[in-house]
Amino acid sequence: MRPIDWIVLIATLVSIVLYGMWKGRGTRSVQGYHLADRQMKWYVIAFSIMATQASAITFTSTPGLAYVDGMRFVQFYFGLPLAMVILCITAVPIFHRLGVYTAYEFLEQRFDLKTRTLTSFIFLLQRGLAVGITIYAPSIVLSVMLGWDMRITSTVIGGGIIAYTVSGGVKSVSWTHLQQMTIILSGMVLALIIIIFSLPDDVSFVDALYVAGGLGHLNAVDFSFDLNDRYNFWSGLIGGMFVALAYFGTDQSQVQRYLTGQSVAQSRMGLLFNGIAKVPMQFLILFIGAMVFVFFQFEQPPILFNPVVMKQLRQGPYAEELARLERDYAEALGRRKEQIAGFLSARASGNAELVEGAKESMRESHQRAEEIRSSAQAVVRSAGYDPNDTNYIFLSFVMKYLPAGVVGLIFACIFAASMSSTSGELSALATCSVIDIYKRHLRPKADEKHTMIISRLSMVLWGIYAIAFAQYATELGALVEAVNILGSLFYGTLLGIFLLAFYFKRVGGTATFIAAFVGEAIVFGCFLFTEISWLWYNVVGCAAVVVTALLVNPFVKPTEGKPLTH
Amino acid sequence: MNTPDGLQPETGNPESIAWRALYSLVLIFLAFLIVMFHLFKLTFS
Repeated sequence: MRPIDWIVLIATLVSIVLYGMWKGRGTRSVQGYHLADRQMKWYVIAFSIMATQASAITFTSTPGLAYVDGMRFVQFYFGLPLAMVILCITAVPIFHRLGVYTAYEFLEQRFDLKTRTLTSFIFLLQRGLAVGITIYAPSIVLSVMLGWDMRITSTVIGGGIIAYTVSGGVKSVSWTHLQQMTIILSGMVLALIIIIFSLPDDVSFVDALYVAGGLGHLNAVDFSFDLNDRYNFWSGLIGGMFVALAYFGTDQSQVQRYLTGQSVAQSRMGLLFNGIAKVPMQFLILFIGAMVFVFFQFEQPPILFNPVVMKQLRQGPYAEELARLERDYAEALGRRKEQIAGFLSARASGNAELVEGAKESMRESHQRAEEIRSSAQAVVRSAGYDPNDTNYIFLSFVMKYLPAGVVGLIFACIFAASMSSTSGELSALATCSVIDIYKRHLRPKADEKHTMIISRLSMVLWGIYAIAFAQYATELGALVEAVNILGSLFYGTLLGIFLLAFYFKRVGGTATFIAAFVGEAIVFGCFLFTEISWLWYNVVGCAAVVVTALLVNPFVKPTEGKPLTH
Repeated sequence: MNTPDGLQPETGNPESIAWRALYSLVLIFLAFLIVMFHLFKLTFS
């Protein structure tokens, strides 16, 4: 990074922290701290929802995913607009009418205290495990790319967030989300424009699209049905809808965003804007990856993109094997480049038969290059390192080929994305801890001043915990991955509980409570003993909870919900 | 920036025609995107 990049990066990070502190100034009430006084307009809610979901990994790994596997990941988001409409009709008016601070508060009114506490606990466990990883995952990537100690990156991200969330609460979080998303989207659009203009002079944008498409990288829709395939139209539409319903309807880190709305209409508009903008945004990010892929058809990419792993391999016993593979790879890339030139000439000639033949040759040469890359990944695995370099592809390109200033902006985008998702999670964890646990179970009569002190303290403690987790995660090794998977196994159950609450008026709290445990056991069973893609766990878990509750309900004593008091 | 006409804060009623129209628009836009992505794939593959 050059001096101008450092200036852009530091100025952006400082501006985020200062803007957050400024927007949150004067926050003194509990409602102000946890719900921004319910004064947010739809556009702040919309960007806040998008910023909470978009983590740094979204912007580092998604273009890398398109480079490796094409654009089919976009299908994962096809169910999201459907979920937004369903939530606008069901959850938003109910949450607003009851004036809840957390989604789980509603469950006490509908079912009973034990169901509320169980769901709060599931959320705290799930999100508490995830929040450390939200800082840890980008910290590793940024440390590798910038050559920093990982403790510095995680402290910069976590420390910045604590500074503005503790002072201004959710108001700071929401307004900085708007600022962060503006920075991120500007950076991404700029990156795409520069990539397109960086292609060789004799390769037009349309040529680039034909090369990407010919090599199978514009595969944005696949209508084939396969339960074990994560990304096709059906898993995206059905599985993706259940994931989105669970995430946006039952996860406090998202529910809190639209609880801040000035009215039902403002909250709904925020969710619907997310439903409209999310798919095109993901398409844009994946398209950046597809264009980076085309760029590297004319420039030689490294055989693997993780610079630290490559350095380690070159110094170890695998150095000779790696050097041989790199020579083969360079040769294969040379041949692929020739075949691509042949394909583009055939296209210019307009002869369809010639084009098909040239396309086939281009695909074969690409296949050969990919086989050599896979061999290099096998060497990395044998040496005991992680062969997945998806996270490093886009940033490697950025550091080597983008102009001064833009590099700093893209890294600022990655830091901003990490701060945006982490701040959303921290504020939700703090609210849930204070409202659902502390104020409900430990000190129900706590006054406003006392609750505010506990709220700020809770935000600090969750922030410190997230930083500490990120700093020690390296030592946890494979456990981090296990923690990450574990966190994704609870959504189906949560969604089932909320579906029962909304649509099955005769089902009581005890039946729901029992069904939650049965549903969770079935999801764990699917995870341990089947090959079903995780996208379907939410469907399975949700269905299991609903069916079990309906079966159990006639045999248990019904419990009465009770009106909420604050 | 206010909400569109007919979507007043106090009318959080899912039955209102304005809201129904807006939900339909979101779903139509999704269908449009899927068709466009498919055509995009077919054109350049």
